[in-house]
Amino acid sequence: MGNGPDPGEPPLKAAVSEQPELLAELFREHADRLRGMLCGLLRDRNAVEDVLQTTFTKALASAGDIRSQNWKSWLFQVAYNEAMLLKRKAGVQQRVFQKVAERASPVAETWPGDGLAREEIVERVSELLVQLPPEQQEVVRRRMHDDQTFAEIAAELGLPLGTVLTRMRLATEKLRKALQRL
Amino acid sequence: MTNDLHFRALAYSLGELTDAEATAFESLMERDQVAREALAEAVLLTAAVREVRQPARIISRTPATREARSSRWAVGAAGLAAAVVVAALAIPARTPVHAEAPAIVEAWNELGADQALFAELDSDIDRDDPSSDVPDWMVAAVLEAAEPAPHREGTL
Repeated sequence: MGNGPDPGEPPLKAAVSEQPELLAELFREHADRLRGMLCGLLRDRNAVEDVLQTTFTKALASAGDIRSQNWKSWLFQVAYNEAMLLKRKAGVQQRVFQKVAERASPVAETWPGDGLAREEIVERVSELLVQLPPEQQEVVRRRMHDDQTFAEIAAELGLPLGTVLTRMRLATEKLRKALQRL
Repeated sequence: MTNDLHFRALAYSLGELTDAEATAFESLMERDQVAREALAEAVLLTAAVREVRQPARIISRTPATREARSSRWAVGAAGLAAAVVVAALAIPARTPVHAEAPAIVEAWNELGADQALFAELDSDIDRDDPSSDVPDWMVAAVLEAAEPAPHREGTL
């Protein structure tokens, strides 16, 4: 017991002939979350797709060698490294561009994935959203729909910043349930 | 704490961290798979919330407490009664208004004093029959009519 592969993961060492299937399975399983992380890091849809492609290209090249029992972790690590490399290469110029891009188009304004799980998750989030206490709904709406900062929300509502942060934290803890089966 | 980590990931994705905090979080992600997944979740969650149609005015769909429902009924009943009074006053009277007014006042007082009626309404509410609930649109309309100018346009 405990020595066998994780049943949720593809085989540890795929034969060359099995690699396309393995890659397809990995992509189906992890691409949405990888895109999510990359969107958070890069805030640029084209860059996200470039890094995602690089990550899976590396996975294809390494499929016969990877001995890790956790493909997911491997993919996230490679994607993270590639994203940070891209960010560092871009340097100050990228930082300036990013600041402008952030203002023009907030991160995750649209669904970062390929849409396979989108409807299901949005529906579940919608259901959970209306179950939140009104004061938590208010903070979520202002932060995520109106793009007010936490400080702006606190000032407008006449609340301590800590209260606004607590409401947001409580709300997101409940809303995260919508992602649990993704 | 995992919850702290997820909230920090959310704050990072929303651009709410200082440069130093953002750099620290990026360093954490370099070695921590949970942190990387937390950022992925934060972005997906934000995207999902933004895809949910923004209601003009959120009225909680959570089960109302008896007190809250009674309050809604009271507001609804008062609004309805006020509408009846206004309508009655607006209709050209066959009898002089001053002769009819005492009857309206008397009816109003009877309505207010009729505890049996309210007890019956309460018992209906207690049965949790959805059909006995005041529709949200009616409550919203009465509240809007009764409230002074809203604090801010589009406030939930």
